[in-house]
Amino acid sequence: MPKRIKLIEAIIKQLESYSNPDEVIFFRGNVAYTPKKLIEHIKDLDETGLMLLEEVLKTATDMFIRGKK
Amino acid sequence: MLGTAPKFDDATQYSFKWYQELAKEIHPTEELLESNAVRSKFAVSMPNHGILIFYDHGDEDRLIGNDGNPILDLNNVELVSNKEVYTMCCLAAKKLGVEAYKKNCIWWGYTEVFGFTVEDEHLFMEAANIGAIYRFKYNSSWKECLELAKEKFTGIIDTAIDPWTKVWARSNRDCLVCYNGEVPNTSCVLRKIVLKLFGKLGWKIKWNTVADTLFLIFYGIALHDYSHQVYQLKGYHNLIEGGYIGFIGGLICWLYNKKAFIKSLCNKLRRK
Repeated sequence: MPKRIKLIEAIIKQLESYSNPDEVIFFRGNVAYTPKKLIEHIKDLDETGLMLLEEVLKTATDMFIRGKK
Repeated sequence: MLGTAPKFDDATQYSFKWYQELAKEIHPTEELLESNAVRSKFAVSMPNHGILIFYDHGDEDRLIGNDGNPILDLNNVELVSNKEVYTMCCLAAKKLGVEAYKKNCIWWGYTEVFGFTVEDEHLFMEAANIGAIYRFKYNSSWKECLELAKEKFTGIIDTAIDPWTKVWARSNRDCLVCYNGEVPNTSCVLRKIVLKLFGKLGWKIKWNTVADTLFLIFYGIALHDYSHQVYQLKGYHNLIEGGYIGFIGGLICWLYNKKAFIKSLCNKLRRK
Protein backbone atom coordinates (compact mmCIF):
# COMPACT_ATOMS: atom_id res chain seq x y z
CA MET A 1 0.00 0.00 0.00
CA PRO A 2 1.47 3.42 -0.92
CA LYS A 3 2.72 5.38 2.09
CA ARG A 4 0.49 8.36 1.39
CA ILE A 5 -2.62 6.17 1.60
CA LYS A 6 -1.36 4.76 4.90
CA LEU A 7 -0.94 8.33 6.16
CA ILE A 8 -4.46 9.29 5.09
CA GLU A 9 -5.86 6.18 6.76
CA ALA A 10 -3.96 6.94 9.97
CA ILE A 11 -5.31 10.52 10.04
CA ILE A 12 -8.87 9.35 9.42
CA LYS A 13 -8.53 6.72 12.15
CA GLN A 14 -7.31 9.39 14.57
CA LEU A 15 -10.22 11.66 13.64
CA GLU A 16 -12.70 8.84 14.10
CA SER A 17 -11.44 8.35 17.64
CA TYR A 18 -13.14 11.55 18.87
CA SER A 19 -16.29 10.73 20.83
CA ASN A 20 -18.34 13.55 19.27
CA PRO A 21 -17.73 13.96 15.51
CA ASP A 22 -19.60 17.28 15.48
CA GLU A 23 -17.64 18.95 18.25
CA VAL A 24 -15.14 21.60 17.17
CA ILE A 25 -11.60 20.33 17.73
CA PHE A 26 -9.65 23.24 16.31
CA PHE A 27 -9.84 26.67 14.76
CA ARG A 28 -7.77 27.81 11.86
CA GLY A 29 -8.32 31.55 11.53
CA ASN A 30 -12.07 32.05 11.84
CA VAL A 31 -12.94 28.56 10.57
CA ALA A 32 -13.95 25.90 13.07
CA TYR A 33 -13.22 22.28 12.19
CA THR A 34 -15.01 19.20 13.50
CA PRO A 35 -13.75 15.61 13.04
CA LYS A 36 -16.65 14.94 10.65
CA LYS A 37 -15.77 17.93 8.45
CA LEU A 38 -12.07 17.06 8.52
CA ILE A 39 -12.68 13.47 7.46
CA GLU A 40 -14.70 14.75 4.49
CA HIS A 41 -11.92 17.14 3.45
CA ILE A 42 -9.27 14.45 3.73
CA LYS A 43 -11.31 11.81 1.89
CA ASP A 44 -12.09 14.27 -0.91
CA LEU A 45 -8.47 15.47 -1.00
CA ASP A 46 -9.78 18.96 -1.72
CA GLU A 47 -7.78 22.15 -1.09
CA THR A 48 -8.32 21.96 2.69
CA GLY A 49 -7.61 18.24 2.75
CA LEU A 50 -4.31 18.72 0.93
CA MET A 51 -3.40 21.64 3.21
CA LEU A 52 -4.04 19.45 6.26
CA LEU A 53 -1.88 16.65 4.86
CA GLU A 54 0.88 19.14 4.13
CA GLU A 55 0.75 20.51 7.69
CA VAL A 56 0.83 16.99 9.15
CA LEU A 57 3.84 16.09 7.00
CA LYS A 58 5.66 19.32 7.88
CA THR A 59 5.10 18.63 11.58
CA ALA A 60 6.24 15.01 11.31
CA THR A 61 9.35 16.15 9.42
CA ASP A 62 10.08 18.83 12.02
CA MET A 63 9.80 16.35 14.86
CA PHE A 64 11.91 13.79 13.02
CA ILE A 65 14.70 16.28 12.23
CA ARG A 66 14.76 17.71 15.77
CA GLY A 67 14.75 14.18 17.17
CA LYS A 68 17.85 13.38 15.13
CA LYS A 69 19.81 16.32 16.58
CA MET B 1 0.06 51.25 25.40
CA LEU B 2 -3.18 50.70 23.48
CA GLY B 3 -4.85 47.30 23.78
CA THR B 4 -7.33 46.38 21.05
CA ALA B 5 -9.43 43.23 21.04
CA PRO B 6 -12.67 42.81 19.10
CA LYS B 7 -15.03 39.94 19.91
CA PHE B 8 -17.63 38.95 17.35
CA ASP B 9 -17.41 35.25 16.47
CA ASP B 10 -16.50 31.86 17.94
CA ALA B 11 -12.75 32.18 17.39
CA THR B 12 -12.63 35.65 18.95
CA GLN B 13 -14.24 34.35 22.13
CA TYR B 14 -10.89 32.65 22.69
CA SER B 15 -8.61 35.42 21.44
CA PHE B 16 -10.51 37.92 23.58
CA LYS B 17 -9.98 35.74 26.65
CA TRP B 18 -6.26 35.44 25.80
CA TYR B 19 -6.05 39.22 25.48
CA GLN B 20 -7.67 39.67 28.91
CA GLU B 21 -5.15 37.31 30.47
CA LEU B 22 -2.35 39.25 28.81
CA ALA B 23 -3.79 42.60 29.95
CA LYS B 24 -3.61 41.40 33.57
CA GLU B 25 0.15 41.08 33.11
CA ILE B 26 1.07 44.13 31.07
CA HIS B 27 -1.68 46.65 31.98
CA PRO B 28 -2.42 48.65 28.79
CA THR B 29 -3.09 52.33 29.50
CA GLU B 30 -6.07 52.42 27.13
CA GLU B 31 -8.25 49.69 25.69
CA LEU B 32 -10.56 49.43 22.69
CA LEU B 33 -12.55 46.29 23.40
CA GLU B 34 -15.42 44.58 21.58
CA SER B 35 -17.71 47.22 20.00
CA ASN B 36 -15.16 49.98 20.70
CA ALA B 37 -12.56 48.24 18.55
CA VAL B 38 -13.45 50.07 15.33
CA ARG B 39 -11.47 52.18 12.88
CA SER B 40 -12.81 55.60 13.89
CA LYS B 41 -11.96 55.13 17.58
CA PHE B 42 -8.64 53.51 16.73
CA ALA B 43 -7.70 56.53 14.58
CA VAL B 44 -8.32 58.84 17.55
CA SER B 45 -6.56 56.69 20.16
CA MET B 46 -3.51 55.31 18.34
CA PRO B 47 -1.62 58.62 17.96
CA ASN B 48 -1.51 58.89 21.78
CA HIS B 49 0.35 55.61 22.23
CA GLY B 50 3.75 54.16 21.37
CA ILE B 51 2.69 50.52 21.61
CA LEU B 52 -0.26 48.64 20.07
CA ILE B 53 -1.46 45.24 21.25
CA PHE B 54 -3.95 43.66 18.86
CA TYR B 55 -5.67 40.30 19.41
CA ASP B 56 -8.11 38.98 16.86
CA HIS B 57 -8.63 38.44 13.13
CA GLY B 58 -6.29 39.76 10.51
CA ASP B 59 -5.59 39.40 6.83
CA GLU B 60 -2.46 39.99 4.76
CA ASP B 61 -3.07 43.72 4.53
CA ARG B 62 -5.31 44.49 7.52
CA LEU B 63 -6.20 44.14 11.17
CA ILE B 64 -9.94 43.57 11.41
CA GLY B 65 -12.15 45.52 13.82
CA ASN B 66 -15.34 44.51 15.61
CA ASP B 67 -17.56 45.58 12.69
CA GLY B 68 -15.61 43.47 10.21
CA ASN B 69 -13.92 46.53 8.69
CA PRO B 70 -10.17 47.09 9.00
CA ILE B 71 -8.98 49.21 11.88
CA LEU B 72 -5.50 49.29 10.39
CA ASP B 73 -4.63 48.70 6.74
CA LEU B 74 -2.27 49.97 4.05
CA ASN B 75 -4.18 53.29 3.89
CA ASN B 76 -3.64 54.24 7.54
CA VAL B 77 -0.48 52.28 8.33
CA GLU B 78 1.16 55.67 9.08
CA LEU B 79 -0.60 55.47 12.46
CA VAL B 80 1.94 52.90 13.64
CA SER B 81 5.09 54.42 12.13
CA ASN B 82 7.94 54.55 14.68
CA LYS B 83 5.85 52.44 17.10
CA GLU B 84 5.81 48.89 18.46
CA VAL B 85 3.00 46.57 17.38
CA TYR B 86 2.29 43.19 18.96
CA THR B 87 -0.36 41.17 17.15
CA MET B 88 -1.95 37.78 17.67
CA CYS B 89 -3.84 37.37 14.43
CA CYS B 90 -3.61 35.62 11.09
CA LEU B 91 -1.47 36.73 8.16
CA ALA B 92 -1.02 40.46 8.89
CA ALA B 93 2.77 40.19 9.15
CA LYS B 94 2.84 39.18 5.49
CA LYS B 95 2.05 42.59 3.95
CA LEU B 96 0.80 45.03 6.57
CA GLY B 97 3.66 44.18 8.92
CA VAL B 98 6.20 44.71 6.13
CA GLU B 99 4.68 48.09 5.23
CA ALA B 100 4.73 49.09 8.90
CA TYR B 101 8.36 47.92 9.18
CA LYS B 102 9.26 50.18 6.25
CA LYS B 103 7.92 53.02 8.41
CA ASN B 104 10.24 52.18 11.29
CA CYS B 105 7.64 50.16 13.16
CA ILE B 106 8.59 47.03 15.11
CA TRP B 107 6.03 44.40 14.16
CA TRP B 108 5.33 41.12 15.96
CA GLY B 109 2.93 38.76 14.23
CA TYR B 110 2.20 35.78 12.03
CA THR B 111 2.68 35.49 8.27
CA GLU B 112 0.22 32.59 7.91
CA VAL B 113 -3.13 31.58 9.38
CA PHE B 114 -3.04 31.07 13.16
CA GLY B 115 -4.45 27.76 14.36
CA PHE B 116 -5.23 26.34 17.78
CA THR B 117 -7.01 23.36 19.28
CA VAL B 118 -9.90 23.86 21.69
CA GLU B 119 -8.63 21.11 24.00
CA ASP B 120 -5.22 22.78 24.47
CA GLU B 121 -6.16 26.41 23.95
CA HIS B 122 -4.50 27.37 27.25
CA LEU B 123 -1.14 26.20 25.82
CA PHE B 124 -1.65 28.31 22.69
CA MET B 125 -2.58 31.27 24.89
CA GLU B 126 0.67 30.93 26.83
CA ALA B 127 2.70 30.79 23.62
CA ALA B 128 0.79 33.69 22.05
CA ASN B 129 1.18 35.89 25.14
CA ILE B 130 4.73 35.05 26.21
CA GLY B 131 6.42 37.53 23.86
CA ALA B 132 4.39 40.51 25.08
CA ILE B 133 4.83 39.53 28.73
CA TYR B 134 8.62 39.32 28.46
CA ARG B 135 8.88 42.44 26.35
CA PHE B 136 6.57 44.76 28.28
CA LYS B 137 6.73 43.31 31.80
CA TYR B 138 10.34 42.12 32.01
CA ASN B 139 11.80 44.44 29.38
CA SER B 140 13.48 41.64 27.40
CA SER B 141 14.74 42.40 23.92
CA TRP B 142 12.51 41.57 20.95
CA LYS B 143 15.01 38.93 19.84
CA GLU B 144 14.89 37.19 23.23
CA CYS B 145 11.10 37.34 23.21
CA LEU B 146 10.94 35.77 19.75
CA GLU B 147 13.26 32.96 20.80
CA LEU B 148 11.18 32.36 23.93
CA ALA B 149 7.93 32.25 22.00
CA LYS B 150 9.36 29.85 19.43
CA GLU B 151 10.75 27.65 22.21
CA LYS B 152 7.32 27.68 23.84
CA PHE B 153 5.69 26.47 20.62
CA THR B 154 8.39 23.81 20.22
CA GLY B 155 7.72 22.69 23.80
CA ILE B 156 4.04 22.27 22.91
CA ILE B 157 4.95 20.19 19.85
CA ASP B 158 7.07 17.89 22.00
CA THR B 159 4.72 17.47 24.97
CA ALA B 160 1.17 17.69 23.60
CA ILE B 161 -0.83 14.50 23.26
CA ASP B 162 -3.32 15.69 20.64
CA PRO B 163 -1.62 15.47 17.21
CA TRP B 164 -3.54 18.54 15.97
CA THR B 165 -2.09 20.56 18.83
CA LYS B 166 1.36 19.57 17.58
CA VAL B 167 0.42 20.48 14.00
CA TRP B 168 -0.84 24.00 14.81
CA ALA B 169 1.90 24.72 17.32
CA ARG B 170 4.47 23.87 14.63
CA SER B 171 2.63 25.95 12.04
CA ASN B 172 2.31 28.97 14.37
CA ARG B 173 5.95 28.71 15.41
CA ASP B 174 7.20 28.67 11.83
CA CYS B 175 5.19 31.70 10.76
CA LEU B 176 5.84 33.82 13.85
CA VAL B 177 8.04 36.81 13.01
CA CYS B 178 9.30 39.96 14.64
CA TYR B 179 10.38 42.66 12.21
CA ASN B 180 13.00 44.33 14.30
CA GLY B 181 16.45 42.82 14.00
CA GLU B 182 14.84 40.29 11.68
CA VAL B 183 14.38 41.44 8.10
CA PRO B 184 11.10 40.42 6.38
CA ASN B 185 11.35 37.75 3.71
CA THR B 186 10.46 38.53 0.11
CA SER B 187 9.82 36.56 -3.07
CA CYS B 188 10.76 39.56 -5.27
CA VAL B 189 14.14 38.96 -6.94
CA LEU B 190 14.97 42.67 -7.20
CA ARG B 191 14.17 43.23 -3.53
CA LYS B 192 16.36 40.25 -2.62
CA ILE B 193 19.29 41.81 -4.51
CA VAL B 194 18.73 45.17 -2.84
CA LEU B 195 18.52 43.49 0.59
CA LYS B 196 21.80 41.66 -0.10
CA LEU B 197 23.46 44.94 -1.07
CA PHE B 198 22.05 47.25 1.61
CA GLY B 199 20.86 44.91 4.37
CA LYS B 200 17.66 45.99 6.15
CA LEU B 201 17.93 49.43 4.56
CA GLY B 202 16.90 47.64 1.36
CA TRP B 203 13.31 47.65 2.63
CA LYS B 204 13.31 51.46 2.69
CA ILE B 205 13.89 51.65 -1.06
CA LYS B 206 10.66 52.26 -2.96
CA TRP B 207 10.46 51.07 -6.57
CA ASN B 208 8.51 54.20 -7.60
CA THR B 209 11.37 56.36 -6.36
CA VAL B 210 13.92 54.18 -8.15
CA ALA B 211 11.87 54.34 -11.38
CA ASP B 212 11.51 58.14 -11.11
CA THR B 213 15.22 58.60 -10.47
CA LEU B 214 16.15 56.37 -13.42
CA PHE B 215 13.62 58.19 -15.62
CA LEU B 216 15.21 61.56 -14.80
CA ILE B 217 18.75 60.22 -15.38
CA PHE B 218 17.81 58.71 -18.77
CA TYR B 219 15.84 61.84 -19.63
CA GLY B 220 18.91 63.93 -18.84
CA ILE B 221 21.16 61.68 -20.98
CA ALA B 222 18.73 61.90 -23.93
CA LEU B 223 18.38 65.69 -23.57
CA HIS B 224 22.13 66.16 -23.33
CA ASP B 225 22.77 63.95 -26.36
CA TYR B 226 20.06 65.65 -28.40
CA SER B 227 21.28 69.20 -27.63
CA HIS B 228 24.87 68.13 -28.38
CA GLN B 229 23.80 66.77 -31.76
CA VAL B 230 21.92 69.98 -32.50
CA TYR B 231 25.00 71.99 -31.54
CA GLN B 232 27.29 69.87 -33.74
CA LEU B 233 24.96 70.13 -36.73
CA LYS B 234 23.80 73.70 -36.43
CA GLY B 235 25.85 75.51 -33.84
CA TYR B 236 24.48 77.79 -31.09
CA HIS B 237 22.51 80.07 -33.46
CA ASN B 238 19.90 77.42 -34.28
CA LEU B 239 19.58 75.95 -30.82
CA ILE B 240 15.75 76.20 -30.73
CA GLU B 241 14.53 72.98 -32.35
CA GLY B 242 11.19 71.17 -32.57
CA GLY B 243 12.58 68.21 -30.66
CA TYR B 244 12.79 70.34 -27.52
CA ILE B 245 8.99 70.69 -27.59
CA GLY B 246 8.88 66.90 -27.18
CA PHE B 247 11.23 67.06 -24.19
CA ILE B 248 9.27 69.90 -22.56
CA GLY B 249 5.93 68.20 -23.27
CA GLY B 250 7.23 64.90 -21.86
CA LEU B 251 8.44 66.61 -18.70
CA ILE B 252 5.11 68.41 -18.20
CA CYS B 253 3.22 65.12 -18.61
CA TRP B 254 5.54 63.41 -16.11
CA LEU B 255 5.11 66.25 -13.62
CA TYR B 256 1.32 66.11 -14.12
CA ASN B 257 1.45 62.42 -13.26
CA LYS B 258 3.36 63.30 -10.10
CA LYS B 259 1.03 66.09 -8.97
CA ALA B 260 -0.13 64.17 -5.86
CA PHE B 261 3.50 63.65 -4.83
CA ILE B 262 4.40 67.30 -5.54
CA LYS B 263 1.39 68.47 -3.50
CA SER B 264 2.35 66.32 -0.51
CA LEU B 265 5.96 67.53 -0.80
CA CYS B 266 4.80 71.18 -0.84
CA ASN B 267 2.59 70.54 2.20
CA LYS B 268 5.49 68.96 4.08
CA LEU B 269 7.76 71.90 3.24
CA ARG B 270 5.06 74.37 4.28
CA ARG B 271 4.63 72.59 7.64
CA LYS B 272 8.38 72.76 8.24
